[in-house]
Amino acid sequence: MKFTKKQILVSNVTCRVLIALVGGYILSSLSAILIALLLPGDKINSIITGLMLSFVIYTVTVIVVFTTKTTLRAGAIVFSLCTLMYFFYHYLNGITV
Amino acid sequence: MKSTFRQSMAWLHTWAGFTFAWLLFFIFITGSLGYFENEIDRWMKPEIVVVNETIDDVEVFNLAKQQLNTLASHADKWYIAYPTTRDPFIKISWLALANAELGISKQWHEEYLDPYTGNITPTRDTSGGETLYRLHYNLHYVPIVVGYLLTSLASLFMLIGLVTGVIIHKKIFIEFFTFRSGKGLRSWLDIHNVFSVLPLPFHLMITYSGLILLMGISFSPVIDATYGEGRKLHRQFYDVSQTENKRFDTTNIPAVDLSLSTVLLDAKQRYKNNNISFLGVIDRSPNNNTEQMGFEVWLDGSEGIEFATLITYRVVNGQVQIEESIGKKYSAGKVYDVLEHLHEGLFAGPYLRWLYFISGLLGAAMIASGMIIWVKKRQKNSTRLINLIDRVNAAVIIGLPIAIAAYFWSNRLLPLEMVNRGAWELHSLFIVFTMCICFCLVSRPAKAWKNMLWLAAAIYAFLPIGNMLTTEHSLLSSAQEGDWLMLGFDVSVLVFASCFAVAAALFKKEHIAPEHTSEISKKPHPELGT
Repeated sequence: MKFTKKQILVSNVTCRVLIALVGGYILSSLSAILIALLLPGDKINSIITGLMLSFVIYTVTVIVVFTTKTTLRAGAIVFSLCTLMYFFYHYLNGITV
Repeated sequence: MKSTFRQSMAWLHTWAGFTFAWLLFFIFITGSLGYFENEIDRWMKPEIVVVNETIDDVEVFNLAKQQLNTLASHADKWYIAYPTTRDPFIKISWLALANAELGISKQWHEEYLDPYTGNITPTRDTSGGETLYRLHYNLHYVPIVVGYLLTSLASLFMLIGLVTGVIIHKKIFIEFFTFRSGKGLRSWLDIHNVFSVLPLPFHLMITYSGLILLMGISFSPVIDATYGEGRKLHRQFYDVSQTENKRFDTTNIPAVDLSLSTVLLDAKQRYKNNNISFLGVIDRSPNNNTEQMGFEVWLDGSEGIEFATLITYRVVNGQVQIEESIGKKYSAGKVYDVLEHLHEGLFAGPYLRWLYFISGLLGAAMIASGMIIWVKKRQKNSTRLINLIDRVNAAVIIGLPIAIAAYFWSNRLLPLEMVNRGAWELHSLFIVFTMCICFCLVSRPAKAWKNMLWLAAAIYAFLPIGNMLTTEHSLLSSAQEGDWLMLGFDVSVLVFASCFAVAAALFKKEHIAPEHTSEISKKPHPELGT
């Protein structure tokens, strides 16, 4: 089965939008959680700092996803960062709990 | 995405802006109106008797207390609002507790007092300014959480649009001073830059702080993972983060004498330079046992962007003690407060308030010009879809102001005894908005734009006349009586009407300028991206 140029473009854009929005949300949530856990000082302060920075991280992620050369690479970057953070979060929890 | 970074960003700017443009326009317009919430409220309750001369605090108190005693003897909370510059009238409000026997749920009531007779002034049932500005984040017809999430998502797109917009403009400072008129698309791009660059700090602040205000909902998984899951724990998280530091002081008032009038005198002595804006009684008990009651005094004015001070009097160990909050305990709470106050602008005086309002309208104009540019760039090979979008653009950009005018008109025209009158005011807003969209869908785009502009001019121009015919408030009488809020509203509406009329008169039938569009498309330009 062969795809037309237009079909490839449309699927590429759809993938990127999904990576940017869904991946960006997961990435920024995870980094907010990590910031909240890792920052020294009061817990409330760290959580709110994490939350406030999450929008900056979200925006930067979206920009990175749309500047990366190929869609595959953009997906790989976001996916690997999410996985790394996810495991790091569990590793931290394992120690603190 | 594209071959260069800047081209990718131009693509992202175009589409991030396009996706939620109509919703963002709605948010910016209704949000901007929020800066004049109290003023709109006054206009929508024309029965209120305003206080023009300075009137004695104790006298106000006596009038209000008399009414509260008869109307709200069993209420849990009492508040007396003193006349201020933004609300020049006396208002009493109370929280009636739920009563299972009578089938009453816990509810706030409010009434306005005639300062000269002390009687209650009956006011019409209206949604007022508050419901109007709340539209900008609850979107009215959708469940509240959906409204929060949609506006958060739209704001995120706005933030992306702003950041990418800054990136694609190399000469951002020079472009601010550039306007080439009468050149079709080129002129639209120039005006888009002016609307964006001049109030850029405002746009960034309002978008980011708007996101922050709703972050507990949009990023609730983060609170789940770090603080605890569930509604109750989330509530606790907000309460803890808003904890305030308090200062305590003792007074000379004997515990048995503690009442609103002694509190009023004591507060007047302590804060000679501040006016009082609210008096309140909290934790009231029906048997008038002052032991548990708290007496609140709110001072008018603000320090920096902080709200006015609140002091609470209570009996502690047989002695009357004052409790005064001196800022938030956590620095996160302080930062959050700063962003919230900047967003809401409640601290702003009249000039800054107007600047806020105009900046908000410039934001809406930025979005509108962006939408127009999007269409103009694609108009050469005009497909049905592009034409459709052009029509909806006209319906949203001009239709929304018309719908808001309809909201004001409905306040004057709906029968006073109508059931759910306030709700129907809002329905009229959305009915007229839908009618505008239908009208634009069936007429040619150029015609739709022009007709809508004239319609907007007319509906705003006649508003003061409608006000004059349905109430006793005319431009002249408001000026004579010194009712500045009423006068201000009517004059502002006329200014808007003339703006729409000028736009309609300047509007050229062929609002596409093909020769210029083709000229630009020869020269690649970063902004034109795709």
